[in-house]
Amino acid sequence: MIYEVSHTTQYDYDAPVDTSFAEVRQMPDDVDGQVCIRRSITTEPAPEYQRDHRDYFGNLTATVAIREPHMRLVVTSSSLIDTSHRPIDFGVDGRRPWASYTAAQAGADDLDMVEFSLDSPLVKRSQELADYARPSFDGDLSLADGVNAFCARVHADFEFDATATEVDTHLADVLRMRKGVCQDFAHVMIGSLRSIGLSACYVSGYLETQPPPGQPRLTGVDRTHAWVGVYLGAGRWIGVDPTNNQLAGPRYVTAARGRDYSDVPPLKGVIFTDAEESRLTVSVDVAAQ
Amino acid sequence: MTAFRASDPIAGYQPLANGHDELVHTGGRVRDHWSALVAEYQALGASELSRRQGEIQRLLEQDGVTYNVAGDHARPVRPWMLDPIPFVLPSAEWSGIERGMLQRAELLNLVLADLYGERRLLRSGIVPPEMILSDPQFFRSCDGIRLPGDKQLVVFGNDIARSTDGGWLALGHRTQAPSGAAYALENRRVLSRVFPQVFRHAGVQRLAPFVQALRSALLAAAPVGVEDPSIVILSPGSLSETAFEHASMAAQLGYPLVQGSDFELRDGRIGLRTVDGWAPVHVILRRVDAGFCDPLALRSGSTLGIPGLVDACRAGGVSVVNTLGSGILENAGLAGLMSDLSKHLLGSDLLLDSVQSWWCGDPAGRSHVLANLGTLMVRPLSRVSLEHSIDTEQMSAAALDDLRRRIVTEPNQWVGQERLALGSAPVFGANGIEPRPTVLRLFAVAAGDSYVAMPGGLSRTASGEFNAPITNRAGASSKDIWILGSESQSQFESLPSNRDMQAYPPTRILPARAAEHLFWLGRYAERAEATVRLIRTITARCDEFLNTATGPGPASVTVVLEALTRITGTYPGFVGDDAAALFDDPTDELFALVVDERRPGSVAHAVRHMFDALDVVRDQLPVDTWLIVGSLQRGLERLERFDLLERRSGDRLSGDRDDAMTSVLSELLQGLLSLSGLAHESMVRDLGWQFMEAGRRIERAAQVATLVATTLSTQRSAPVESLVVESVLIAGESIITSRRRYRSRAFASTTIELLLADAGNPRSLRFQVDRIAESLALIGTDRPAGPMSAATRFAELTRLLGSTTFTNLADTDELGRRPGLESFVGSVRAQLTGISNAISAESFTRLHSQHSMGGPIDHRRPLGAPGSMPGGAL
Repeated sequence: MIYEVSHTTQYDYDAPVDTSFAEVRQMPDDVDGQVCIRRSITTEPAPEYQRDHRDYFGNLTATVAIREPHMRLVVTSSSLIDTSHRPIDFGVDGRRPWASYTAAQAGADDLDMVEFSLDSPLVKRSQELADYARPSFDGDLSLADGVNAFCARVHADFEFDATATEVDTHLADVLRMRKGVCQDFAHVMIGSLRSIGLSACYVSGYLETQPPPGQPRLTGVDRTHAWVGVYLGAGRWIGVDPTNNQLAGPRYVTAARGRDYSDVPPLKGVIFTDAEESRLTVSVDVAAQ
Repeated sequence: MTAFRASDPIAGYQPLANGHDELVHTGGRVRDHWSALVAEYQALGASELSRRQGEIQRLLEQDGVTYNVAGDHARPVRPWMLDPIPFVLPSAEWSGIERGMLQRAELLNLVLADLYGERRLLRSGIVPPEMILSDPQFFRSCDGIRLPGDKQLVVFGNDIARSTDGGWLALGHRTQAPSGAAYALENRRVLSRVFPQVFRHAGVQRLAPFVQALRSALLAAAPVGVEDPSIVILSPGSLSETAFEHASMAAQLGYPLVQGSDFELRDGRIGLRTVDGWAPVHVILRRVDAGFCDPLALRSGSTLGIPGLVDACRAGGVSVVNTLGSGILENAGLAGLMSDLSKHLLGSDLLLDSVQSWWCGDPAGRSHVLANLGTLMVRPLSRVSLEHSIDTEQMSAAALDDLRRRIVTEPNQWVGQERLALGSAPVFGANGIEPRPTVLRLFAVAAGDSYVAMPGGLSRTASGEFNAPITNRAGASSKDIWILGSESQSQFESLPSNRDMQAYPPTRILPARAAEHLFWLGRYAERAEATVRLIRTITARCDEFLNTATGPGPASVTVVLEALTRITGTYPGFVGDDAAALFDDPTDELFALVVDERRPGSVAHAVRHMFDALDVVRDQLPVDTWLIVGSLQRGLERLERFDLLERRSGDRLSGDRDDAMTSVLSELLQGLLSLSGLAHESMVRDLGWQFMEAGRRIERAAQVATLVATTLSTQRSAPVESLVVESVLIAGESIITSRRRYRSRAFASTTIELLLADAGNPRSLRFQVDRIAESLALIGTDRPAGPMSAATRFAELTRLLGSTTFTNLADTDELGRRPGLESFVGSVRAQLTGISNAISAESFTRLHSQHSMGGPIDHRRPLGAPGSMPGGAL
């Protein structure tokens, strides 16, 4: 599939903002079998400067500074992405018993294997998470079967509830409440996989949503999405989406990859203002071409 | 002879049971390199040593050397402690230590470059990846930051100690922002002054070239292509634990001491807001922990940093020293790998061994540590944790179990360390010279393709005999380190390159925040002085008329008391409904106006604000300032004690208290005069000085004009007015001039003339206005000249003075008022306020508060505000 993705974040303030600095991670790259045909980031007001770099995790990241007083900030990214070559199943990868994929089995030269198996700022391994994952990883079940089964369990056990959690809700609380948003689903699954020794990453990106049968597709109602990357070694990842209980196939567009949400927020920033309040409006559109 | 032995300070010296002793061999014989010194100390005797110890503390206090204890609200500022006895090393032994330390610096430099570059050490498993990747000081956002040249580690601090066999072991590394070098320099300055002969006889290597070496290293770190780099020191603020050190380093290096809020990015380049506008910055010597340096890329919410700094470093436009991320080298697990790393990276053996240690992330290491809990020290992997070394030998069984659980749960985060019987050094204590466990902190800086060491450093001794943690938080005392002989002296003398030999022009960069504090320093100092003078005048008058109930005397005092309330704005005071009672006994109110610092308008309030401003611009002020600050502080504290005593006992101690107040007021005046003397005799007339001067003059102008108006705007009966005029002239420090000039009695008209119009009277309004003109001319180059500008407001003030016939101001109307005087002073005050506001608006940028984008905008205390000052613990 080829998608035109546009993602607009708008902040309205009740008093002028003097300066805004932002780090933007909304630039899809040639990863996970997708090919980026074009991409751009624009802001309103226009940035005084914008510098792009590839961060530690390899994500294209833009740093922008807006240095004119503004009551409203709009950050828009748009890109054209070909996802046709994204794997739709584990294929030959993941057939070995799951325990052979643990970080302990890997050589030190595969740094990703270690990096994504450790605790990260928002995802700490625990006995509870290991106990939760264990039933899906029985004996010498293959990695693919284990991950698929576990994904289905998370999907079944957790309720999607946009009001239950905040960006900084602790993983332990999510586990207790059994509800949350895609970020929470992903963190639960990542933490569980890491707690039994596997390596998993957090993927931030977009998902094409299907309109209800018989209704026209509306623009701008899609959402940013998050899912899980399971590491197979040697630089190969497979995307798994516990929120929708499926592999992250060609309808998914990867924007950035990190250990957890805190590594890859689509937009984070620092502003200087006397404003008391801000109103956030996000609109995402994933349009098949 | 007997008498001499009695005062022999080392007569009872008994080395500790275990470990190496610096002073004596196991048999008790004094070591060779100590014998000359010991003879000198014996000649001096214990009581003389004790006297000099007092002298040391006095000198340190005069220099304002302190260590602020974060989180200790009861006693946040701790005086720095320096032992009279140095730690002594013969040059040959020092050479060995030096080589070992410099090799470590080389080695860690390579490790740092690799960890934020290719990470081959991790991929090859020479350094276990988990050990680094689990350390919060490994900042992934700082990946790819590289200083120009090979040297990524620029400043290095190394803690070392003697092992039992007398050899040296490295205890740990300081690579984030190594603290202590300025304390070491200060220790040397003081000790060499208190023991000039002993110092000279010993032939001690000089430390001063280290400052030059640091300056060279900072210049060398500048981005490629920058000819004349602008260098600043980034401090977390005057509440930081080592605020003294930051200011002292800045003063010695001659670089501005700045804070995060002084910076502004323009086009992605780092620069400072200065009073002259924006100025680029090329090198930042940072004293703020990396995590707090950039709220955009690192810890969001930190207000100590500069949003965009990491990005600017990555782009190469600015060099932060040590690099953001260098704290990873403080990782306790690296200690155990240094030997392997040396073989691998340098192809040679490690010269200075690490204390034996076991990282618990390694299964073998973990089982060793768990099996030996109870005999080992245990350290958190990362120094980001506030937990220090844990001595498991001192722990209860329950505490050990708890620690064991923590290690098993997060093995990567713990390192076990051999429990050293630290070597001891002689320390002068209550019972003469005694042994105390001692550690040394040594320093090195990058120099060309190698490193140079400070020939000396900071030695610290435990407060007790046993292995208590030797940290400044735990109350450790410090020692100077004396390296005897001058073997490696030449290495330093040859250091300065051509680039360094250029004269350093005094920096033009004055951060707007520093200018603002200097301005307010001037205003508060002057306000304190004026208030002290007025209260002093009043108390003298009260004493004079103590036994007189009515008549011109008490009536004149009433006038001046009312004026005091109006001038200081301390309403209701002597103009409120209860004024009548206060007139009968004004002493309580007067006392409060001196000591109550919560009351704006009081002397203590002005002095407190003056101190706060002093702290912030510490690096700009002459060292003698702290001599005066100390005595001002003591004066106020003496009075506060009375206040406290009274409140506690419920008794009135008025007699004693009032006597004390009289003498303290004199001391305060003396102190404030000394400060203004210092400002005039010991400070360069740079831009900062002009701001301070402008503040001082504006305040004095407002004070004197208000004094005249509040006392003389109503005509009194001749005998009362005569006494009032006299009081005004005393408070306005012009009584002598008046007497000489007007011989007979002074009148309201002559007083108005002398205090407002006389251009030759340094206390007059006219004189202040002339000085303001001079300062504004230097401050206000190329400023816009709008109707609200300082220049325009000042022109109006000059016009007002020029068009006023001062002899007419004393004219009275039919009600006996002097409306001309009142309206003139009203206009003057309005213009002065206007000028002060205009200077603030033009030169001191008002900062909007910082928030995280998207986060709820709240105005709670942000991260890094007073109370937690990340950066600079010793």
